[in-house]
Amino acid sequence: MAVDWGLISACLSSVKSSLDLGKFILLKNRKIEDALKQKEILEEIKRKENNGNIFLIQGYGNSIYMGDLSKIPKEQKSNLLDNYSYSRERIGQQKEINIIDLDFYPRVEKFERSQHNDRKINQISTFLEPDLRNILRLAIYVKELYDEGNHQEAALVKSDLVCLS
Amino acid sequence: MFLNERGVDRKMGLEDASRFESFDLNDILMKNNRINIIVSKE
Repeated sequence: MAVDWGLISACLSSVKSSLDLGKFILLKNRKIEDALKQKEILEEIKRKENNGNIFLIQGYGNSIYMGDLSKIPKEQKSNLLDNYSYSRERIGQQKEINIIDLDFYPRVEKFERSQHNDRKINQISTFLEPDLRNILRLAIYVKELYDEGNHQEAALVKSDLVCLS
Repeated sequence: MFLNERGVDRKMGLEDASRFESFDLNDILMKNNRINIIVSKE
């Protein structure tokens, strides 16, 4: 099947227009690896124009959104920051927002997969500041890795914990 | 809507491509209680 360059060009153009308007594109049921390939393509196009900062947001389930940080309206960025900043007055109402470096993502993904819902821990973690909450979750993860005999990985995560605390 | 290394998913027609969904950041925050923002160092 021949590649339809007209179609490709039309799609890229419509995606780029949405990103330029500060909108996010939903990538349905795609793995993060697929989304990263798509991000690379659009980054390359944006690089030629000498602007743009494409990034991904991973939401509930498999939903992955792609946006351009430099185009998002200021008030929406403020709203994000408001949700990200820890506030004792708003405990339980704020969203959980994690900012993850792309290079570090595979390790975070592995950690996320290992997580199970523990009601007792959740009762405590709700009242902790985001950094302390992550330290608690990672400390539990390290113990579980040691218990499973995975000492090498446990030591690696433990060294990350030392950097955090 | 999905682009592969060479461009567009072969299964997708032009009509589908023109109907991809777009959202603003507030929509995403409303729909999700927990999000991961994945950024590059550059």
